[in-house]
Amino acid sequence: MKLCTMEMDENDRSYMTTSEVPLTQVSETEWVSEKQDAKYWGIAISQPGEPFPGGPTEMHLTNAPRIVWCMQGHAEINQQNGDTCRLATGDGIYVDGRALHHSAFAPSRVPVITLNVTFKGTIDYDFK
Amino acid sequence: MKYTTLISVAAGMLAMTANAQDVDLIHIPSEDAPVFATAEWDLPVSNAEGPVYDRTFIAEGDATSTAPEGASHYTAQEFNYPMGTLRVLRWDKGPVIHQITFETQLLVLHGSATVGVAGETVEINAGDAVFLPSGILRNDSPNGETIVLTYVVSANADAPKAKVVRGEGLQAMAIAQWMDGEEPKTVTDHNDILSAPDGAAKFTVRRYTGDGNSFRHAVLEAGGRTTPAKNGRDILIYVNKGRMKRTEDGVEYMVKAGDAIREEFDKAGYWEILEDSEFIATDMPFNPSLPRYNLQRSPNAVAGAGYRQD
Repeated sequence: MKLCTMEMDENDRSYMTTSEVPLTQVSETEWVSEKQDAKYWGIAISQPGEPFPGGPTEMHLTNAPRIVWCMQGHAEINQQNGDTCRLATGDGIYVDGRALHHSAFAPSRVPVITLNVTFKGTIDYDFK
Repeated sequence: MKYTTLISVAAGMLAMTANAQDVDLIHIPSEDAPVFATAEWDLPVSNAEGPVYDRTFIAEGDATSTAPEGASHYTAQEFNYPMGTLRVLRWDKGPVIHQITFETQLLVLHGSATVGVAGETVEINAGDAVFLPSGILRNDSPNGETIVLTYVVSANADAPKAKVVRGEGLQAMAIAQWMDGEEPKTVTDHNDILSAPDGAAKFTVRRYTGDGNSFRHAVLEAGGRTTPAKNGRDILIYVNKGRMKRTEDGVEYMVKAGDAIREEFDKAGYWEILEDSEFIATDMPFNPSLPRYNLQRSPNAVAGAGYRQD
């Protein structure tokens, strides 16, 4: 499956692309990946319209590769080149550990709940 | 009475603040451009399993009081136009720390620092420009004031490349312009400039050429008037010295050092140079293929709220 992805371009700035996660069909209604080398998982709850500490230029790094799944609400993610993606409930995104990004929760009408699965290393993760 | 007064004050503040959504916005006097107290500081990463990349926290307004000792404190003055944004960053003293985020271009007016350019850390000094910078603008012990113009503007290139352009050694083109009756005249030859009539505008332009955009640093002698001209795209101009009058589409704008003004796409205009002046110009082309940059703001938010990822 193609997963929305934050990556780094040749100018060392973040942009939005996609990455491929191999899946195998295991039943008529289910596809699964291979086992992955996950390090830990976490859940975050962000209020809609949550204040941003640094104004319009607040951006942050994870310094760890991870997948973030939106479990409730909407989140809007901005990259350095202006690429924007809107995560709705059920959408996921892969984050390169170097990809500087801004996460906005103002578009959501309900608190935004995200589940993240963090992989080993600080940069990138190759899905099996 | 108390509430009426408060509402009046609030309404007055709104009226003074330039509205970036106003497509007719042309001139933003310095006093109408909001100035935000800002702090940034390094955020150590613990227990990392590999190379670690610089992380910073940024705080604005009252939240700067939460900055730790040794944080970088500066002011950011914002000039927001529909097609782009200029932020004038000023540090009275060090350290200089500023994470490059959405900025697409910067020009150093005073001081020096290091910044990323396509993955390399380079030193930049007053007069240097960087297109598509990255990483962190940094100087742990600057010698005096540091002023950096940072821009969020599009570029007229499909896949623009990061680039540093040194001010030192850039050729300045000398130009004189005047109206010969109804005919506009422009000369660049040294002798022609010397023999230009009274009332001619005399100026020099140094061009910093990036990939799909550029800076033009103009130095203008008092007393002249340029010829009318139209632009193929919007131009964002920051006046860093002097006083001039801009006439565009029949409307006059008095501009002074510290102001920003937009030369609007396809509108004829000219300049009258009232004092020895200087300005920095760059293009801000409208690019509908890129979504609008996020301008949500909450000046007094607690630094780091919601983003701790230790």
